[in-house]
Amino acid sequence: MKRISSKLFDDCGNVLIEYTLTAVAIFIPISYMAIAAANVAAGYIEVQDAARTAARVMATSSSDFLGKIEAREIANQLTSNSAQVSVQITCSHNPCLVDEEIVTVAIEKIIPLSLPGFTGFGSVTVRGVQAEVVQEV
Amino acid sequence: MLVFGIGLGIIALLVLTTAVNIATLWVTKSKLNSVADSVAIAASHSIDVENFYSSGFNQKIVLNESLAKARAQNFLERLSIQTELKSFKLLDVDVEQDSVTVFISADPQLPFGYLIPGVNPQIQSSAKALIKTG
Repeated sequence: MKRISSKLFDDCGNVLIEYTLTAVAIFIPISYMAIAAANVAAGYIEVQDAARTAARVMATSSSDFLGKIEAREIANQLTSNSAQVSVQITCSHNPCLVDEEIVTVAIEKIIPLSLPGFTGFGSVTVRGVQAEVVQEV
Repeated sequence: MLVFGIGLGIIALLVLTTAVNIATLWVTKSKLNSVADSVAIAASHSIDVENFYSSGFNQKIVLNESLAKARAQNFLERLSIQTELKSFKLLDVDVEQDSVTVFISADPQLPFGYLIPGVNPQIQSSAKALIKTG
């Protein structure tokens, strides 16, 4: 026990090996986590921007039916890997396109995280919501 | 080696928490930009009808400031955005002839905000919408 303790606080050693071991143990997992956090943030901003455009397309469309199709299409175009994207369009009134009513577009996307499987964080679902008011002039 | 490892570990954790905090600021700013955008559009249709009838179609459309403010407020109440964004405030609705500029602010909910006590960052955003004819 004394030997281990004295070895631990001993300054003798090869700096290259010690630095490599520390880098593997600390920097690589931290880098993975930082990249995963940045991926989630980027995914969130992507769905938020897509929701904003889709909501505007829906609110300015000529009919409910066309608006929903166009909004879904634009949402899929603006999000990468659209297979993992779901688009929900809700309205405060039925039919949707009535003056002063609100159209809400919610986009959900599954962001795969590049973390090892044992961490239990395989993917994260991000959600972007945008509401626009319908206005007829 | 132990001291070296602990030191590097602390620095690495500091980098990670800063990265997460910055990502949160970034996401909150994006959300605020979207809200400001939709509020500006909602407020932009507050046409001053009296002015419109007296000046006709040939003149530039003029917006009504008090109506724009009321519309912006009403839209935000219907969205119930206060539940999504902490300390959300509609700072100002500035009307200038045919355009309306909306200024809003909110506090970001930093996951590691407790690491920087005394610092209370507030994010502001603005958006401008313009009414055009013809």
